[in-house]
Amino acid sequence: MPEIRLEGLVKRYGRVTAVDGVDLLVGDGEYVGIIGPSGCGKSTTFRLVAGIETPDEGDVLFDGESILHLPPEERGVALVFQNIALFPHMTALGNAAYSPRVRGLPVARAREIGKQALRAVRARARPEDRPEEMSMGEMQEVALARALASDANVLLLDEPLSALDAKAAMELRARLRELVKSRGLTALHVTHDQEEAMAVSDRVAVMRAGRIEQVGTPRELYERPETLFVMNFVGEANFLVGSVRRGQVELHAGPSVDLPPGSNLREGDLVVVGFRPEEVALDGGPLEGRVKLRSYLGGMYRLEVVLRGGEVVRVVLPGDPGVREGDGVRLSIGRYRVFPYPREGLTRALAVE
Amino acid sequence: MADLELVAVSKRFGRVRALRDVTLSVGDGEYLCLLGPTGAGKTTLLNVVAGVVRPDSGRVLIGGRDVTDLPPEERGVGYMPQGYALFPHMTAWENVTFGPEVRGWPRGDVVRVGRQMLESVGLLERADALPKELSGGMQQRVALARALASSPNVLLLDEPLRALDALLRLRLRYEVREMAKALGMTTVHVTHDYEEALSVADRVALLRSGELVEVGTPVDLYERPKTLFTAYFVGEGTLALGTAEPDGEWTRVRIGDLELRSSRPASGEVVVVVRSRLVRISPDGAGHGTVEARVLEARFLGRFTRFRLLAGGVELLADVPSTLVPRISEGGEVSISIRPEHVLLFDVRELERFPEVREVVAGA
Repeated sequence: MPEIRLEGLVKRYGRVTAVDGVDLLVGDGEYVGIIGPSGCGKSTTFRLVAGIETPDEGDVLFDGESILHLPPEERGVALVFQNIALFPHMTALGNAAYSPRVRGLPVARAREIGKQALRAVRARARPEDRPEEMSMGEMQEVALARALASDANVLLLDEPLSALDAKAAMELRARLRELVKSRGLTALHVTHDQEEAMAVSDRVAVMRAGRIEQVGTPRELYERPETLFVMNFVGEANFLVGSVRRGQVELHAGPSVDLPPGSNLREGDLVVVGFRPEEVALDGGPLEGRVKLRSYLGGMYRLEVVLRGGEVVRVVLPGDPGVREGDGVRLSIGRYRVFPYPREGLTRALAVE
Repeated sequence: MADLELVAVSKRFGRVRALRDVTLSVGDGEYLCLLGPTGAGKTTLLNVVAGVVRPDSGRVLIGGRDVTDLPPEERGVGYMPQGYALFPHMTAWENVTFGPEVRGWPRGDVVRVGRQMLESVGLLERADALPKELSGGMQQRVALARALASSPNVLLLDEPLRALDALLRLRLRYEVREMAKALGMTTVHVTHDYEEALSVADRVALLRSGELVEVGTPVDLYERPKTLFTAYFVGEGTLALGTAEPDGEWTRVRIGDLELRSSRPASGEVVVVVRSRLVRISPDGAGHGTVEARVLEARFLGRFTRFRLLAGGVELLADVPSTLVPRISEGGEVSISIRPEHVLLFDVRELERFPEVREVVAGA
């Protein structure tokens, strides 16, 4: 079960640098997700590891040995893509048994391995079904079974669930992590969907403009994002602008919050205070606003509150807050992060497309 | 502005019954989400309202007027099809004003509505851009502006967010609702994503195999579903076979060695559904209606922490708001509480009506 190491990977297409110095370690048996908006370089990174593309600089090492000279089929990796590429003329079982057959195993043995793989993913398609008879979800289950039936120890997944319905995607992603973990595979999973990445991964790398902005456990990224971009990309967040005054942050929307200890921000610095919607309480606190939108998320309620200065604060509460659209409310902020005001401007720092 | 009414609408494509006897009314200014899995007939239903597909039987009424035999352009309907279908060689401006132009509106009106629509989606300064020069989110806004430009009474949106990245999908869904509401539109929004439907709809209509399964408010469908299919499709949770027995004003339910109390009347064999997000966890055992459980796995997912719990030999799924999660370690013991009204019971015969649910029901 190899460890995968990406070292200083660079890939250019003409004048565009798609991957701009990526270092990443995927431990033996670890499940790592790569997320980021369209064009951030996550799929190119995937292709460099898979061997579909060759880097201009840097190296990809499996257990300390460079594999750049190896073609994709000799890297010992199994691939699963968004665009499910089942062999159309083969049955579900034919697809699942393909890799063992190519490895030269006898037909009966190959079919046995294929059947086991279909059972392992709990494929709903019957072994004799052909791709044209299957739903997208069923096809992706078979594609996953095919990947598992190969003897690869590394599973590389590029948007494996994007073509599926929300319900089917949620069901399959839970099985995906279970399978990877029970087989001790090393997995690298690229997706634009941060919820999906959090659900399957041990650690997640957030990419932006060809670089990795932060790598961490789902909790680290969610609770201790190092940049505005990461805070905005990983889950919903509110951002209010303020200034440092007498050791506190005076929000332009009104109240002040404490400056976190150890901060190297100085008096007068412009800052951005970021906080999660679930860290806002409707407790008569100092932020005054009016409820613009109230929605039910399933077991939770979400409000959009317009503050006096026009800023919008999103609030998520575990129970019915008992307020209606148009009502005045007073809020307080629980946990928050303070960032220096970005030089590129707040809109750009938060841009996700 | 007008209400929309579908009366006993049926449609067949060859041997496939795409719509079966669908009767549905959408109030004036209401935002309705049409939810269902792939192949449920959602797009066909929109096409019938838009006038692109003729139903085999049944009527479509808009503002009390029977429009079943009218061509699309005479129905007062704005349609945003899946994938937007923007004209690639036309600018944002030309796309948005296309409808008013072909309807022969006076020049002044065309310019006025073009400006108004592009301004309301925040893209007036990109009026001269071609679709390929715009980001995915911008294209989605242009498509929305185009659907609204002919001053329709009814707005039809087919998976309006599907082509977007997950994050934009989350953000833009509220914008779409806000815009439709601001213009007083009667809206039908098609989606396969239950969370999207719950979060923006006034009411949700759940469609399966061409039939309406249930129509209700988001809270109704999530917390008080009337059918097993609704309980399965709208949300996540634990589904298991159990036995029910009346016990005073409550129903006592057994799943393996796990005993729960439900406020739903039932007796005999039942399918029990417990929504993952309606399970609460506390570290100590005190309290009414609580059950002891062992933590098999706790995964932090951001807003929620997902627990796999073992209680009375039964595996339960719980998605607890992370802000309410006590300090718990895997392998540790916790108390879980589920309110009786959140222990949903369904007749086992519903498994025959909805065979796809059987695979996810423990013990079935």
